Amino acid sequence: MSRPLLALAGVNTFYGAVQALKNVDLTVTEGEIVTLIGANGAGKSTLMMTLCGQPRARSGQIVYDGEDITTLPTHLIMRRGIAQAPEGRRIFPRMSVRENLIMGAESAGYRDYDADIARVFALFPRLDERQSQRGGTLSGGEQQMLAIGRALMARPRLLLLDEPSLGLAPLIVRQIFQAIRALNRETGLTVLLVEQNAFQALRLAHRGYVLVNGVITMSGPGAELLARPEIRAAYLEGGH
Amino acid sequence: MAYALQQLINGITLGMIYGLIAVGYTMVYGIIGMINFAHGDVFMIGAFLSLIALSGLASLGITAVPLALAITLVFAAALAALYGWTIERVAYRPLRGSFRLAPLISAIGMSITLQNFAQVSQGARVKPLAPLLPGGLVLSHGEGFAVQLSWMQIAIALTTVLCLGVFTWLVTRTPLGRAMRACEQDLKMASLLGIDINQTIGLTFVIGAALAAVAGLMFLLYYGAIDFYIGFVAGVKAFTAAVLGGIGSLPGAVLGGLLIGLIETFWSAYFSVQYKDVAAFSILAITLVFLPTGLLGRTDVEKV
Ligand SMILES: Nc1ncnc2c1ncn2[C@@H]1O[C@H](COP(=O)(O)OP(=O)(O)OP(=O)(O)O)[C@@H](O)[C@H]1O
Ligand SMILES: [Mg+2]
Repeated sequence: MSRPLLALAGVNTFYGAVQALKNVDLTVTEGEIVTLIGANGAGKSTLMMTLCGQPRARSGQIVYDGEDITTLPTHLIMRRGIAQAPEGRRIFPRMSVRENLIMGAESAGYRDYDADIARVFALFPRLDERQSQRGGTLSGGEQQMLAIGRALMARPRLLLLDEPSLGLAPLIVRQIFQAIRALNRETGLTVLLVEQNAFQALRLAHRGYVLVNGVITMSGPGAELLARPEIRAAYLEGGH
Repeated sequence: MAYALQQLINGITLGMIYGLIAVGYTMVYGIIGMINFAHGDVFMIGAFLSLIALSGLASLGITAVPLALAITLVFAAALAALYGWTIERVAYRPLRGSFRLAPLISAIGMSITLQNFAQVSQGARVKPLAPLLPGGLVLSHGEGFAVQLSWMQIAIALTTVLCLGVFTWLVTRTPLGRAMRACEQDLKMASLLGIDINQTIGLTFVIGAALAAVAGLMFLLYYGAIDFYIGFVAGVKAFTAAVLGGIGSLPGAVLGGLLIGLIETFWSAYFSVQYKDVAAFSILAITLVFLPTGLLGRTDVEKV
């Protein structure tokens, strides 16, 4: 294993007086797919946003590509090659599909913009058909596709996906997971993935972390976590 | 008929000035959700900067009117832009994220500061300016009343259309405009896409202030007199225009400005000049009661 692309050490995050992340250690190596699973309110989205400086970690250290980014302004963190498709999708409602994608290319300085947008349209033909529709009027699933496509437009080295399967039909979910695997294999894209669907996520990921009430309680290779009875009981209820 | 046509021309001219100011209110509201009460005073500063530039140019012997106006416009817009940037930087940015009323109070303080600054540095008395572009086109002589379209009105209309054209292009077609719209729609997401939101907000103030300064120059030319207090009255009317058009909507600001200009002019012509400001403010009250989102305001049908 080479040095980690991303490393969190002892990260604590608070909302006012409430502590949402407690002493979190987590690493992601270049080329890995790492998944973060946990119940509702465990702090998964908080961890993804803390990486991007919103909210800011109150203590601890976040190192990306050898650089301490703990106190770096959000836009500069993102300009270092991190992209996030955040919880709630956060599509710009009064911009067209195409403009939303263009916004994604901003942090990459519009390098290879044409090739990238063609790739996103190939991945999600649905977006291609709806290029000039306003983001706010897309269906929930279409918005999710757009959120992922927008993140890909940034040509990230580290892609943060917060529940990308939310609201999507099973067939589309499979497509998205296949696409993540393909991007990872072909371009070496590193992915940190938050998923409700722990079964699919752990099968896709090289490694996984389990977050309970803001504390990392378990970590290990995806297959290994998948085999643990306590994981099966807690997160794979009715699992496929 | 001729009289009404004349009022229409006058009302549109005045409305364009209000519209240019209103754009600044609506832009800032759209992006950070605050009413920048100092905006009317930036307009006033723009008018004084224009007066200073015009007298300076005259004393330098530059009397060709188009050239003098062009230089004045650039000078006033650039310096007012600097005011706008500074105001945001010192009075609003440090308060971002604190409680909602804090920037509002700061804005009122900034407004008073600018008024006092102008009063102390320029004097409290009304400053006149000799007409630069006398005369105009006589459109008709119906019923012993000549309908006139003055050169000044034509100049104001052309300048407004040009400025709004450039502004529209900027907002709809350039990366800066896209960043501004992104910030307006979701500040946090914009930052997650690598947008420097502080810079974008600062530039929004810069653009709004530059447009207000253009309006200040036109006000100076149109009325031929300014004082430190013009920013308050024109500011409140432009704010009314922004609310009438739908606060946050750029076309709404221009439309609202035109309507307020027309209402004020027709009211003065047919009813009472003394109560023209009451007419404008009544519109504000009525709009807020019956049409809280304004004429072109968002009805928010989107899923977000
Ligand atoms: N802006 C906020 N202000 C206060 N508390 C918050 C805020 N955002 C999240 N929290 C709290 O922090 C905790 C972690 O929330 P977070 O959104 O990170 O959970 P999550 O693991 O992503 O959950 P889910 O699976 O439901 O998305 C929760 O208890 C939540 O109520
Ligand atoms: Mg979440």
